[in-house]
Amino acid sequence: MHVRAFSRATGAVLAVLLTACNATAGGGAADGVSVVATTEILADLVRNVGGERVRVDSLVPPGGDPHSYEPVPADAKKVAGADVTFTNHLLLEEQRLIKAIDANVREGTPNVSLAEASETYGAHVIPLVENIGLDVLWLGLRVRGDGKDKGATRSSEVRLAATALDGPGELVVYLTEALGKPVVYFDSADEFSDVDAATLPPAAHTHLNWAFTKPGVYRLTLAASLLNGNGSAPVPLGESTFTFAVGVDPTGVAGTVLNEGHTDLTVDLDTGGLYTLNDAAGGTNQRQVVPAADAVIEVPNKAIATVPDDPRFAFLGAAGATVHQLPQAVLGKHVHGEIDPHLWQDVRNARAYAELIRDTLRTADPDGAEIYDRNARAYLDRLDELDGYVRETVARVPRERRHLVTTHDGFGYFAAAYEMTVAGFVVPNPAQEPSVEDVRKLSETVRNLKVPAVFMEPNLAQRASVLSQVAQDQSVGVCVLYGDAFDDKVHSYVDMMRHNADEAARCLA
Amino acid sequence: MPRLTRFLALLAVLAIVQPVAVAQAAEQVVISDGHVDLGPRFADGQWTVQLRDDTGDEPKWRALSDVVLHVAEAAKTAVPDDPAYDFLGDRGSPIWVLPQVEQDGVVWPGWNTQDPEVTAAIDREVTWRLHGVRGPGRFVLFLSGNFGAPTTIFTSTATTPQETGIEVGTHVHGNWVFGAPGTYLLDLEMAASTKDRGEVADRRVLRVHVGDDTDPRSAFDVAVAEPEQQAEPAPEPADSRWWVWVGLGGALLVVAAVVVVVVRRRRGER
Repeated sequence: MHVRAFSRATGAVLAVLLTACNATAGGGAADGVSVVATTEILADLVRNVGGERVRVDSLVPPGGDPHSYEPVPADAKKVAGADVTFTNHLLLEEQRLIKAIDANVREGTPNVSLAEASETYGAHVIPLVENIGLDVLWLGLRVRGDGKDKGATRSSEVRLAATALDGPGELVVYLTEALGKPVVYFDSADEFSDVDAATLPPAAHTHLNWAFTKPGVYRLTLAASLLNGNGSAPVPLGESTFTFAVGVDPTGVAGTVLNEGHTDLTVDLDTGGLYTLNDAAGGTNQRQVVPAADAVIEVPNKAIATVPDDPRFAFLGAAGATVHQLPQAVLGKHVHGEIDPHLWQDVRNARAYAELIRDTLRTADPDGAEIYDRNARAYLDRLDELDGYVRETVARVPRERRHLVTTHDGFGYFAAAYEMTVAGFVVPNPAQEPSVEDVRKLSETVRNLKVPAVFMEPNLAQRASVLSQVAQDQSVGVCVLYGDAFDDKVHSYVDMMRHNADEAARCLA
Repeated sequence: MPRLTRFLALLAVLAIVQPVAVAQAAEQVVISDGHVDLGPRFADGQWTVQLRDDTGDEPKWRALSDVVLHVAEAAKTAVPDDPAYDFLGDRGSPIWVLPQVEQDGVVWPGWNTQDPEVTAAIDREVTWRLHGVRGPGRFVLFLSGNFGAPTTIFTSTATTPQETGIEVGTHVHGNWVFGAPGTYLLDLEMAASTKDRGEVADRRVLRVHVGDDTDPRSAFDVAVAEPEQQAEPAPEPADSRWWVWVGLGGALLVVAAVVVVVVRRRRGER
């Protein structure tokens, strides 16, 4: 919860430690600088920057999982003997490991959390998603404009009626009121009629749940009319057909894919007509209008929800059935202040790590500054080349096939940096056990998207058994992506990222 | 409260809400209906928690010290007979709810981080803290999620400060619940890191008045110990304000005020 505050504190402490170190030690440069890093990946980055001048030990053993590795007494000894200690942190490593390090680092030696401090070197960070079911588009209904030229007043109302649905299943649009009571607005199950309508005052908007009973492409037609009251006839405001890609890839269905931020299906009282009005995530592109015919609303497989055993929700289907549902509220999808720790899956972030490692080593061992500068320059060039290679390789996979299904949620940066999507994973964190529902959701994801392969991490064998079973049931391939560790085939960060790019291209193309 | 006095109180509220176009920036308003949002913005370059008032013809950002949110009697309901809602109080006991989704006749407060200067300057998210609640009953702010499962954001039954995050560029609504009629002071702070690695924070008090039995405007009289560095702009000269009041029918206000005083006295005697 307080990671960011902690990160700033770490930065401050780091500065103090570095100064202290400068003033006192000068680093045991005569017999080389001794560095401890938690994972093999970090150790490899340090080796590339430090070269012959540093001796690097990693604590998590080769092939080990940093999320679950617990320290042994020998680790404390290694840390106590180190001139510099590097962790990734941001809750990547098991907490006991971080505590053991913090308790044993020699006073005056730098103890650097790379993920937390690398932001000042331009690393791009992604907030940690806590509830992936909420990491979806927030879809509502809106009335825009005052409609004065059509005789609208503040007491007028706009009626939005669902008139047709074309798709493989049913759509229910409903609202759960503050104290848990659901109110249905549109329900296609019993054919649309006069009751399938919502009424909003001018300039109002509302948020609703959009539940689809089967995956596939849906087209929903909404007709709007203005009610000025006092028995005057409704003024027709036009109708539009909105498209939804439910559980299937939206590429090619329409020009603009709406899959994040906030969108309202909007009636415009002034111009007449209905369109989508969009606030993209992150505050850019505020209030962008996309005509209904040019937009496809993505309802991804992470929006799969199980119908509760509560008679009030029987309109969604039998208890235990699944629906794809865009929820009426999406706040709470992120853990406040927490960041996804797997930064190195974006090569540009590894670049920031390398620069931070360089500056840390320089300060701890000023006599080696020139060497660290030279090594870092060469390594940064290699990383730039690697970034280009990964980008070009992944780009060869057609956009609609760039879906990653993995053992744990460790590839968010890879997906964001190289334009893929994380379609699903067995569990968010490998230290967790998947529930029956998690496994079912994963199977549906693989089936709905028709992904040609899923990806296991070699160091997560137990999790891979769930993934392999799903892959076997769905007759798709199992490929390998390196996440948090190397194995006997891959021993360096550069090799690991090249492999990941090649494997994604080979298995998905 | 007899019907006539309620009517007078309502008139008084209307009178206060009306003069938007007449009075200067520091007018004090009671908002009982329509959409408002709490949110940070750079007011004269200074990071400030304000209230965006969408109840007029044009949106207007107001200082929190100039606003009372009035929770009308139409918001009154009861804690449902469902263990999922026990955090709101005893089942069946009265509560006043401003719902997450717009309801006719009650004010609809949300919170947003969409001011263009804010989205341009702030990194990732705004931290929203509740430092304390003063009021006659319980206060809870919660969200209804999938299938109505409630998620609590703030509650006066737990220790403060409490905090939550608001992503930059977002606009959210929640359910605001009050357990008894009267005036509540919500001590709120919004803080964030800027993209150029600075820190901004501002702490303000939001006044909420629950119920129609007492004049919501009386909430302005409840003193707030504001932190010193947040000195308010100098108040308007008293005579100009007096002029506005006369223009609105000051006599009516005086009547309403007398009624309110009497009602409060009686409560005090019990």
